[in-house]
Amino acid sequence: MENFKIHFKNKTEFKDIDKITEKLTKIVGSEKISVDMIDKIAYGKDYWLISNLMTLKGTLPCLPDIILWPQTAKEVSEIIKLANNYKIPVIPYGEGSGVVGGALAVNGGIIIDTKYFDSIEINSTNMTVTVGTGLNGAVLERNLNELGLRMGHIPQSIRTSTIGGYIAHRAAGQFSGIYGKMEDIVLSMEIVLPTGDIISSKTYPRASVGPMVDRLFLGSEGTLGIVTKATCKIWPMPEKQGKLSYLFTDMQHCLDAIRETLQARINPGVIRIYDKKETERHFGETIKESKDKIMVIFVFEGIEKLVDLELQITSGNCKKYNGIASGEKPIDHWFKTRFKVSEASEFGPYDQVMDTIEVACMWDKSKEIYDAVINSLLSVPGIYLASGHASHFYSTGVCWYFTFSGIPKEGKDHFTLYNEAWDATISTVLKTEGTASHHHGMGINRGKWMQLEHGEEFKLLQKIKATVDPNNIMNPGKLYLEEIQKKEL
Amino acid sequence: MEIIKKFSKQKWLIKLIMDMDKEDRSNMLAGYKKRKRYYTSNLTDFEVNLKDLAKCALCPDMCGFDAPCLLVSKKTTLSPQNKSRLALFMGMERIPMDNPSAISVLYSCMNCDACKHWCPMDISAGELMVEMRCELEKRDLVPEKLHHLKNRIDDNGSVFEKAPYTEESEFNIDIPNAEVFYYIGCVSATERKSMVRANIALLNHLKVKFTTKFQDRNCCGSPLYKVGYKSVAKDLAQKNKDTINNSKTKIVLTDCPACLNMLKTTYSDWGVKIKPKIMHFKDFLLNKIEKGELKPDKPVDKVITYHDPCIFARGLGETEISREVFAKIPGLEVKEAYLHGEETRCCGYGGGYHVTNKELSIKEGLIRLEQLRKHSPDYIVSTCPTCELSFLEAQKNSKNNNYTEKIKDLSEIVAESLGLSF
Ligand SMILES: Cc1cc2nc3c(=O)[nH]c(=O)nc-3n(C[C@H](O)[C@H](O)[C@H](O)COP(=O)(O)OP(=O)(O)OC[C@H]3O[C@@H](n4cnc5c(N)ncnc54)[C@H](O)[C@@H]3O)c2cc1C
Ligand code: SF4
Ligand code: SF4
Repeated sequence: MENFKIHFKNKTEFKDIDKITEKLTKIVGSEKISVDMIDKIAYGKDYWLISNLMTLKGTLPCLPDIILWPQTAKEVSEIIKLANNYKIPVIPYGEGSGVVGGALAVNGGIIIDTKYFDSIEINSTNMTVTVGTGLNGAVLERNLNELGLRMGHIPQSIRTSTIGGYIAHRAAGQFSGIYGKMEDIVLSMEIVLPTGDIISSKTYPRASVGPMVDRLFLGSEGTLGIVTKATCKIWPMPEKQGKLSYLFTDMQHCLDAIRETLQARINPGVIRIYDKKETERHFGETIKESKDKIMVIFVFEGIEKLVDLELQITSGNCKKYNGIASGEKPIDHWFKTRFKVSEASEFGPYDQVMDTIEVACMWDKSKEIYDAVINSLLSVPGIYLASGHASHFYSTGVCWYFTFSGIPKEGKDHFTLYNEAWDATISTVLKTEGTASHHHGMGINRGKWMQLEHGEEFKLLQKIKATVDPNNIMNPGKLYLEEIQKKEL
Repeated sequence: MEIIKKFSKQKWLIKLIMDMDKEDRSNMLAGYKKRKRYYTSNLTDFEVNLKDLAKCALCPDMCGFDAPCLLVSKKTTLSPQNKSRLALFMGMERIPMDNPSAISVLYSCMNCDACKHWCPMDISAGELMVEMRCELEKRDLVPEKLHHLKNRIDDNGSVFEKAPYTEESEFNIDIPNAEVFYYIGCVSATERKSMVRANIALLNHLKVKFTTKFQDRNCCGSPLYKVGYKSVAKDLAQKNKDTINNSKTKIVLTDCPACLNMLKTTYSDWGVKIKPKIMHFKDFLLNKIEKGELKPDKPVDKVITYHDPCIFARGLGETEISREVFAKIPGLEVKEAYLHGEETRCCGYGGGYHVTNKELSIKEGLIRLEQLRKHSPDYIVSTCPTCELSFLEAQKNSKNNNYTEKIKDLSEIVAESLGLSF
């Protein structure tokens, strides 16, 4: 559409697009295909945060050529076979809440909207649920809750994301401490491969039957196939929820208190450390005594007796490291505000560059990485806010979640500043032996860091990709490519 | 400084601004000052709340999981956020106002306010769509398939092909010195006659002097306003005001939440004040039961599931009255639906959706009907003729023909418990 600038403009026009459309219509039916510009505009974006500025300026991140809504794995298979014939890209699309541009059709092509894959089958003996991957996370959780069950995967985006998206990015929910990350939750999958073959892995508690092939698809970001079904673990609703909060002055102290707690096999569902800036931002108004302090909140879930014990042991560890108990109010405040996402809407129109970057590291680097990233972000000219919280924890390490915001200095554009902030963060993390992403994925923002992140194993990964997807039709431009970002906005 | 005043409560932000170097601070303030350019349209006479439209367009669709427009269509194009994004592009003149696909997106909404219920910024994408449709009307761009609604108002004062308000109608009742005006809804009078009969039986049982004043009354304007005919709806508001305020009426009784909301809320937003008290039947009946004037004492040994109409549950924030009425009826057992109270789900007929998106509207009705059937109730009960019609249509259109439950209005249950024939 001539009224829009298009950020990732597809350079190769698909000559046979009419013929492709005709053949695809035969596969899915005329109601389930669109080449309408209005649909292309809608599916030409995800929640890659810089694209909010694009929206305001009337730029489209990209424009896919065709949008499809298949209803069965067989239809998906036929679509993919056809795409191979014409060497046209295929991009799986859940709800477009991914924040790294993963679902953007940067080279044009066919968007496969997965939302018709929305079945739910519960096995309450095995405590598993088999779901269509286009199902919205909150819809699933609501249905399970009705029956006194839960999967417990509660990312902040649960109301606007799908099971397929979680699998594709190895997502993490707020209660990952108990329920695990998506790779801990998924037991087996049905996948349509880039050649159109459909494979299903077996559901078992554990096994020893050679390499775990389906694990390859966890975190594959739509580049190795389309996951159409998944069997996941579920749990009964907890008997009790326990809440605890502590204020610290020293970051190392609170990290130590949490590490010792986890290494003693105490498993809080939620642990969150807010650095001083974020404590002020989130709790400054409600918890007066949090001024100049680091807020740590814990939520425990499970059988009442166990929860009580966990509360007691965790309190002991916090006190040991000079923590000051701050009651349940901070947790209640967190529960009340945890889905209130409005910053981008409120501050976006001020022409700011902002984003969040989550990374992970082992305990022995946890403080060093936090300090190094904050310093490197603030050293980028134009960045005036850099803060962090830690949102997911393991006996072995921690996930840091940084927020930055800024406005370009004289002579620089928004996109350059955005890339500089990202580069500063990721290069610092990799230098400090951290890992480039904990749960948002690599997508466009971090694709170019894949080589450094993986080292020698990246070559193997590239070979696997070339074998599984010989024509590189599945979500090209992600994970395996070096530089696809452009400068101007 | 304007920005300091605006954010005086967010101390961290003020501190942040104060700590910035000079260039960053002036850049930040310049960005802040220029923000309004994103909320301004060059289209003449464009009155949509562009600020909310922009906020919604930048949101990650935090209400998507409960938005029937998205759930029933499975099209990201039609999610609340995306509708706003496309509407914003229309306001920015990036997408022409007369683009037929964009226009149909603006009508892909049931005005159920599920989006607003979950919205962190209290925005209703549905209301924004109504504002956009009013812009279409100004530009003569309301889709042709909706023109008949306006034409029928001109022809017979209702949105139906045949006027429900005729001299011959069985509902044409005018008791001298009436203090109650029973403002029968268009859908009630045409499609939910058993409910109207129950209401009339209840009024007679209470010996209330009432009138239905069919000849002078008009449609409340809700269906027209929702699809964009605001000026026609305003004319109707004026006419209804004159009729009602010039009569001896002390109470206007409605059987339809949309009428109630129009007469009470929307009219007064437009500066049109109806003097008498305006009440829905459920409130009226509870009041009479509590005062002891109505004694529903005949057991109704049935299991019911109540469907909360969106307008009551979310629009007016009221979910308890009907349940209190049910609690007064002996024998009645209420089993709640999956999604009830404020979290109720739309019946599929809101916002003229059954006219603009017939197939999806029926699909939505079926989805909701199945949710309501979960406990195999004898009756599915509501307090909105349009919701009730939607479920009746869903039953008719379903391939499943084992429906045993009946669709009823609350008034019918009360009348049954009083042993009234209607
Ligand atoms: C406000 C907000 C909060 C967030 N909070 C969290 C959080 O707490 N934790 C977290 O982990 N993430 C979070 N995210 C990021 C995002 O929600 C996740 O990455 C989510 O997993 C994306 O799901 P989606 O359905 O929206 O995927 P999309 O954005 O549609 O797609 C993401 C990627 O997955 C691929 N994909 C989608 N479906 C399939 C499939 N069936 N098969 C193969 N590939 C597929 C796409 O091609 C794309 O590469 C947040 C995002 C927002 C906007
Ligand atoms: S209505 Fe609110 S929650 Fe829904 S998309 Fe718009 S801003 Fe987001
Ligand atoms: S009012 Fe209802 S149908 Fe309309 S946008 Fe909001 S959630 Fe969707």
